Amino acid sequence: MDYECLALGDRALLLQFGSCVDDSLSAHVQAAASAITKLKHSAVTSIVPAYAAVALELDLIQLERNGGEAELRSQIEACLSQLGSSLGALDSDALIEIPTRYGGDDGPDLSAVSALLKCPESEIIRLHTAPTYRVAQVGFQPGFPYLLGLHPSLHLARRTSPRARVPAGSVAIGGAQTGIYPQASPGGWHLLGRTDLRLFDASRLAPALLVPGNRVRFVAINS
Amino acid sequence: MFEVLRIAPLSSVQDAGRLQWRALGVPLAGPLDDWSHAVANMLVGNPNPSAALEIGFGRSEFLFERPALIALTGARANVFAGSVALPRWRPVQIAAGTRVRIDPARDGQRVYLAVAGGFDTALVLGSRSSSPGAGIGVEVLTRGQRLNLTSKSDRLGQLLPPGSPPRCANWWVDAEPLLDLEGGAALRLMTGSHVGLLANPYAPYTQDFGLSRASNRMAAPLLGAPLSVSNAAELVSEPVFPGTLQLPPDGLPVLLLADAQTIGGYPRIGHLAAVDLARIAQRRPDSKIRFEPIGVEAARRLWIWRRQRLARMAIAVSARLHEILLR
Repeated sequence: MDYECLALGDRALLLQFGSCVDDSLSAHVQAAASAITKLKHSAVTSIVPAYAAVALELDLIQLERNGGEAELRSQIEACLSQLGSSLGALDSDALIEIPTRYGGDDGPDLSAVSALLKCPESEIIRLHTAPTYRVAQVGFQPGFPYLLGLHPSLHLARRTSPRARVPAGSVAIGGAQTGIYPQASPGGWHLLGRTDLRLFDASRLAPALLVPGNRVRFVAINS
Repeated sequence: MFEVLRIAPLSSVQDAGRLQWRALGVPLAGPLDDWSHAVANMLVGNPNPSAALEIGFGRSEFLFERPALIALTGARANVFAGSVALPRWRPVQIAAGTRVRIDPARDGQRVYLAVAGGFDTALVLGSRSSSPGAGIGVEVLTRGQRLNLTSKSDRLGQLLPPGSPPRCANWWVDAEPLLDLEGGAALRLMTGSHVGLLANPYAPYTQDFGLSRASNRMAAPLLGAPLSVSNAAELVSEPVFPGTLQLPPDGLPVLLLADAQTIGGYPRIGHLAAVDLARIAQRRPDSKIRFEPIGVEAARRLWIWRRQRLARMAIAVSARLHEILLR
């Protein structure tokens, strides 16, 4: 697996595996993040997978005590070279279904999107619920999933004027992405529907419902 | 045990923050000026880093219902216990019923107040730090709010009879110079991956910037001549970290701070040395910001040196603290 290792300032390293948004690249990234996690290197305080890269955040005291950056890099190299090109099942590829109420008050942009794409609302719902998406990264807000796999027919530029407040649980599309807003916030994506699932709850043992590597399906339900 | 009578904006409780939850989009949180926060905790014998108050620029006043051992660090502000001026950078014993007032800082932006035993607020994801922008942790401090202190604070404070004036150590630690509160020094910036996209890759180092009044715990937007991009590539979003200097489409760089998002799609044109996060936390909106280059290894050595200095100070302070508390 080819990658480039760069410093992200003095307290983190970035392993870049590519520069595009692509499902198989994302799967490689998740496998790499998983393998590095198993290393349990004392200088690595957290591992953040993204679309095409993994960031390793560092404890500088531990780094110095354990041979410095050079030693860490060689351990990572050894670990990733063993991964090879065939990936087994990932630890984190559980499938999670998101019951979603489409349209109406829950999806205020569904009819506008239907008009823009010249596609009936029922077809938009079908296109959105058909794929199995993959969580490539979680960020923007705690628990906010960036999902890979949106059907090209649903690719749509963001709203020209973002909303000041998108309700929590809103299921939205923007650009080539789809996601779910864990909490109310300003947002520029098109709101297709809404789920009652809590995407992030700090009091849960597993605070985020969706973590990198998970597979996701939207399931249309009636209000 | 502790009541907030009046509080400056953007004040909150902060401990070390949340290191373990970054992959789930949880901000790091923690003190913006980690140096002042660490020294304040050290001065009252707290394991670093316990929960202390990060107090924004403005006027604040607190009521200590029980006696306490406290320390004040950070910005240069006049602090009073009743009518008695309180010195900073040293431990101070105060009696039950003392009102501590902090005036707007003369130099610097944020004051840190540590209490022996720490502030006993709710743990969220293993930390007492607030990240109000992400909806995590105790809200930003508000007037009328009451916070719990620990039994350690009670035990240590018992030594001073109620109504007594504060008793201050007759020594202090000389940790303030590291903050550059006058704001004259250049801030040390490592180069970022996307600096090649700039029309002039040296631009971050050759021009002066101002600091926007819209700065908060998430980010410090910089003001000045916009940096032009010669190659506007469409970047895939990648992880970012406090200290990352991003360049949004309007060409005005934004420095990410403790409560920043974990993933970003804007070009990364630099990274502030970790030791200088404390310095930028103390810069006021009217100050001039300029950057000088530093390499990654040099920045790491500065951080480790500073940490070792804190450890040496802690040894000396620990012995003196015993003297105070046995008196």
